[in-house]
Amino acid sequence: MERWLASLPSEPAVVRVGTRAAVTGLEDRIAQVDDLLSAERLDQAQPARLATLQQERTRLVGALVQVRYAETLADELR
Amino acid sequence: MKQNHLVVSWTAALIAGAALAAAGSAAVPASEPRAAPGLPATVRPDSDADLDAQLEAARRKLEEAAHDVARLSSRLSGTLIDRVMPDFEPGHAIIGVQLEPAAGAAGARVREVSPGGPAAEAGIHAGDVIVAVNGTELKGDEPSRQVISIMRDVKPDTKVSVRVLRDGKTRDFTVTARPGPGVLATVHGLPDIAFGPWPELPGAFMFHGPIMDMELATLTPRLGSYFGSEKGVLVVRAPAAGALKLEDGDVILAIDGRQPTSGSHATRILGSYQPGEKLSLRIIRQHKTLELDATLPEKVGRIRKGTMLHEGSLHDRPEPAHKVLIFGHDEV
Repeated sequence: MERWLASLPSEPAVVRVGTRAAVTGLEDRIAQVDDLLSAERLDQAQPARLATLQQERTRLVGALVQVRYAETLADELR
Repeated sequence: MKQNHLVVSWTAALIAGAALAAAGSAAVPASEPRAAPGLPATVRPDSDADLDAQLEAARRKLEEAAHDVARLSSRLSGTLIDRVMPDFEPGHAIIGVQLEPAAGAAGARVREVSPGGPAAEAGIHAGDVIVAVNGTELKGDEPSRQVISIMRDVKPDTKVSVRVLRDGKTRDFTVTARPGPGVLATVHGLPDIAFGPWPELPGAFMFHGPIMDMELATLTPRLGSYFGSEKGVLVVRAPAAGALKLEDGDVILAIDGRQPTSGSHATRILGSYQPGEKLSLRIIRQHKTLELDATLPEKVGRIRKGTMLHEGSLHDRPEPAHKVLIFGHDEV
């Protein structure tokens, strides 16, 4: 999924603010989870906590894929 | 919560349906007539205007579904993170990486790069080893902690120089930091995350209302020469109802002094405000620089506690999910 995301341009040539806000909101939330994971690893957190956060990251990345797919499709319908 | 899962399933089904429809459409000869989106196969549109309207309706459904996926996913994650990390330290900026110690070398290894995050935008890859941040070399047993420590002194939106080791060679990147966990809650006076769920996704108020349909384009050099600016973001379609006082063809140079470098950046800046907040826009209109004082529209949707539904959202549609048709397919 992340490879597909990385293959996309960072944004469509014309962005619709409502949909872009959905994309940027999820991107920011994933970055925040990544930051928490780094901190947790440093503090040798329990594996269950790491696993929970990692699962959450996976779910958020899945949501981001869906939103970016919809954005790409909507852009092509212009 | 059950309602939320239903909504997520609905939107997932819609998007999955779109994928199926898109895949299916490739196999349909161009000459073969198709049913219009949202209509039975027997109903045929009789004008281009009909088709345009139905295409626009299909696009809007897709985008609304995307908004719901983002909003609900974020709220679920907020609740979970709040439970897992009830007392994390707020206030620092982040660059969008997961770090771990580098095996056999000094530095912090990038385990994951956050998609669409600052590091990803700058070109940093998973597997890179960060060896210096803002000119400070990482030394000692805990280079990841050193990175976090350095980032505590960095404010969001400031540039951070990051030196990495990749394939035995050093490379330098400039990364623009963004707000980290808790910053949004503290900066914008939202409820304390330690005592309740995380706030709504930043910028979620833009999923509805007049700002939603605003369209922006990053200025290219040619566009820039036409509009008379090397920097800024072009307003392709201004918000409805005169919101923000913007007009089609304006170029946004700054929002309260923050200079947007792309449509996404402008969206992030606008999303950092609350509905009803005042802001100042510096724009170019017909080759003249103007200052506009504007107010962000108040929230249109009303969140009903316990159901997380917005007025006018997808969930209020009368038809059940399995009857939503897109791209002329009768079944999803």
